[in-house]
Amino acid sequence: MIMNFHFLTLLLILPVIGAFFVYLVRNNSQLAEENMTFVAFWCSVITFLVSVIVFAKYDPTQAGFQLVENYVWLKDLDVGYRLGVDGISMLLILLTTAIMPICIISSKGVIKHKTKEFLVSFLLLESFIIGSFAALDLVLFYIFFEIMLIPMFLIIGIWGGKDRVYAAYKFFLYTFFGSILFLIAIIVIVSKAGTADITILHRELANLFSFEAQKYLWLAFFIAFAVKIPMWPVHTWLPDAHVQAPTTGSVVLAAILLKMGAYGFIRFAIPLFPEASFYFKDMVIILSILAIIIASLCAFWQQDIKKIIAYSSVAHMGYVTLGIFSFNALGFAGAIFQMLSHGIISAALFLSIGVIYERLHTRNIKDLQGITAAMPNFAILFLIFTFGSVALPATSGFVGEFLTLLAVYKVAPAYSIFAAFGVIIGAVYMLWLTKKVMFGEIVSEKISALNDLSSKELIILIPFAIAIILFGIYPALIFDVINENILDILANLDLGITYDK
Amino acid sequence: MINSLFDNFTILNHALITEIFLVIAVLALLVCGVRKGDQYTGKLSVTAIVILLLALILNAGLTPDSYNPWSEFITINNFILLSKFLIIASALVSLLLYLSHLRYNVINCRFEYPVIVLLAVIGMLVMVSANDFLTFYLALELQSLAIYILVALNIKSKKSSEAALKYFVLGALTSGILLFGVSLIYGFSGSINFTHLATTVTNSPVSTTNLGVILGLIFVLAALCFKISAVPFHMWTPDVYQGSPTPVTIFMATAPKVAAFTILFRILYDPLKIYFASLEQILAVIAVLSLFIGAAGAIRQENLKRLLAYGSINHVGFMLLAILAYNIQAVQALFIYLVIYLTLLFGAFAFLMLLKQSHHSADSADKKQLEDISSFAGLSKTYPALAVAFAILLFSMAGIPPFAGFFSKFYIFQAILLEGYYKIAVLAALSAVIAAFYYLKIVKIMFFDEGQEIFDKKPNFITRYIFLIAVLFNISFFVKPGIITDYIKQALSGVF
Repeated sequence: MIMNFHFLTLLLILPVIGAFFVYLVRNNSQLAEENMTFVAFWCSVITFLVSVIVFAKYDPTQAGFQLVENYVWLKDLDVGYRLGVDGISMLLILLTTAIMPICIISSKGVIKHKTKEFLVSFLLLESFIIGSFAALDLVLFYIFFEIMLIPMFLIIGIWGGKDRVYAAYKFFLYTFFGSILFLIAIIVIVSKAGTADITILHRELANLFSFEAQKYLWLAFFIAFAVKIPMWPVHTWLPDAHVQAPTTGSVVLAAILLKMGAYGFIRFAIPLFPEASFYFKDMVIILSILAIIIASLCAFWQQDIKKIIAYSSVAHMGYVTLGIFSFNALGFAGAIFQMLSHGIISAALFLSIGVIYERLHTRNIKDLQGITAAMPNFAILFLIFTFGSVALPATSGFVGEFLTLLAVYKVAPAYSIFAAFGVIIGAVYMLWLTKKVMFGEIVSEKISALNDLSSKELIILIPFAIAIILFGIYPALIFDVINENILDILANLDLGITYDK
Repeated sequence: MINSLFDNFTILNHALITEIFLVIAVLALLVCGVRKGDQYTGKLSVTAIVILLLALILNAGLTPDSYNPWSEFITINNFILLSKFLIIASALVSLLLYLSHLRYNVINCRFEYPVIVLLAVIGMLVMVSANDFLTFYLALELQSLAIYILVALNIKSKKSSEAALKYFVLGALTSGILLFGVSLIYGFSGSINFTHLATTVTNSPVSTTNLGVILGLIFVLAALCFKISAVPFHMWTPDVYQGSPTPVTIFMATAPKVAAFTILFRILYDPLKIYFASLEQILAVIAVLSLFIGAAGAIRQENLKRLLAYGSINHVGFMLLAILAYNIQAVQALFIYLVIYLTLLFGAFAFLMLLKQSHHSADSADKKQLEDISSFAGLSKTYPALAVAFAILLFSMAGIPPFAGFFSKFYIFQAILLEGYYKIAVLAALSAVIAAFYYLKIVKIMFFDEGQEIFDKKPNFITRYIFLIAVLFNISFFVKPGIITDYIKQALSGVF
């Protein structure tokens, strides 16, 4: 009986229930707002615990989807409520549920108006994200993929910075534009194949569509995911969205929402259209390398710390697509590892920026110098995060970038040389940033009067540092979970290439 | 059981029973109105609502096999019955909204209003079931004349008179075009009866190259495009929507659209099927233009009614795509779209009326301002629940899943993609992105901007419930879309 329990549905519904209870709170007093935050916090903690239980039930030695739920929903098109997880989505769900409580607790006291609406949008967002990672149905995935825009639009637009409206619009319209073509492709596929179940589709699709048609469909998928990742040249919404979003919004955006695009490639674009994906692989690899180099160069010229991290996100996600489209097990593993590692590192960096911004109300590098003297604990943690971001060995950032570069080297050495340049530029701007902000002489009295991290902030940031180092030293923790699935996905591609571990 | 009950009373099983009943009721209502005068408008409207309810019941009792002695002029099938149901129901809802409008606008409540609405309903009911071009034309005229009067009903307002004049002049021109088209069809095919046309024209040797008939059909199409306000016959829409009193706008934005789409579908599918191929390009151009001009035109609008007018042009573009697709999925998609679109419109207008009434000032300048979307600023602070609900309606209009509006577009896309209109589908998708922009603009104003105006909280209870039902429908549609879609599919099966 317990085997048939709908754990994934439970995961989906828990945050919604939490949001409902938060919404019911009627009072606007300080106490009520604190209570709301705690309700939301505990709700997300429980969601996290449930996801840990799901993870415990998940058997990593088996490929294929587990904990599958399947209900037909639109009969004549065989669109269904189909959920299931494999190692990749399991880890991404864990990342989501782990980051959400941290976001909620760190927003306490920072979000000063409309706390209730904020918490409701956040919890709903969590549910939608989990839904899209667990969806095994094209239409269901699209619905989650799309509805996620609404809470994020509101989070940026209501609680954001000065140009929040512009950023919110840009975010929404870019993504909406990308995904509406995706919708058309989905409808074409579903009406031709007569089902939206991807476990059936990825076997049938090659027989149903000519290679020419597959290429167009793949492009529609590609645009949707490329905007979400975001890849160069459709990345321009990301810096704006990051700069304007509140700290917690940036954390979710960088840590989780950006992964949605890469996840889309791994789960949908490549298994459904292996030949088309292979056909376009050079284009994607070149775009990824351009993203890595251009975004890194852009980051170099920014004054706003958040913008620097935003551009670095574009660059780091470049490695993810690089790894995926090198079409070997190493690249896939590296890409997925990089996704998780970037999720952790970027979340930590954005939270650190939030710490500074809360104290000084500036994110401009010029106004910040010599924070180390006033905040030694913070400086240590920030340094760890920076090292993670520049991919220093023994941090999780290293493993992902190293593996993807290795994978690309195996396929095409020339590409890896260019991509490696990106690593260097990345190191330059991140270290330069740390040097400017953390060291040097103290320029203003404000900085010398800073308090070091409070215990709440320490509790929030230390787990990130531990995770970065832990996964850096012992990456097998992650690889053990995803290996079988990667080999399974690649074996099913049927491209006539043999894969070794 | 109801059916067996009706079998015993053959008069109730008459194909035209709804219309006959309505005609008698309207005459009675008119006599009462003339005798009692304007202060009885409220009671007359309630009576009209009851009459429409009865008409709904009568309509529900009919089947495609109902007794039809005038099959030359009138036809009946499930498709038509469904469309009649939608027309009566939307007239009913708009009268309900009129009731709440009455409470605050005692000056403008003329007793003619419910009478004329019923007359327009009769026109539409006959129009959708017409089986020859002349019946169609006469019914269309009845409906149009009634609506001209409704638009002009607010004689004190300059805007209203201007709108009425515009609508009347253009409408009269359209009637001329329609008649000309019909006479061309008659001249070149020898018949105006749909059934005859379906048989004789199809069997004649020169059928597909009969330019006269094609030309006539194009004129008919143009006239109908005027009624559904498709580009390039859309010019009147924003002005008339804005100029008419809100209840009139609600009425004319809903029921006549259902009627015009039904008859358009019937003419293109039934009697003159073989000419569809020659009209395909025209339809495609009209649909795509409507999609884009509707979407682009709305961006700069400040008045909610004008914005909804342009929005409706965009929606009409989508519905025309269904006609273009020309398959059974498309008919279903069109009706699913119509049902969802009606709920969206009623929701949006009920919202508008909620705001209007919560402001008691009789000053018309103030009222005009309330229709401006900028006056919604900060609504999320003053009325959080109302703002959230309206935002959901707007997201639904923009087609964001999982709200109902997404499914309506989903089915349309499915229908046109089945026919291989890939480029048009992509264009439609792009227009949806543009449309999303202005729906988001309202959301932005409600949620992101700080407001100055504070509304009183005394919304009328009917309006509130209509709004609530519309929102709930749009939220919960995704849980089991089958309830509505299966019903529509069942009603339409076997018709084409």
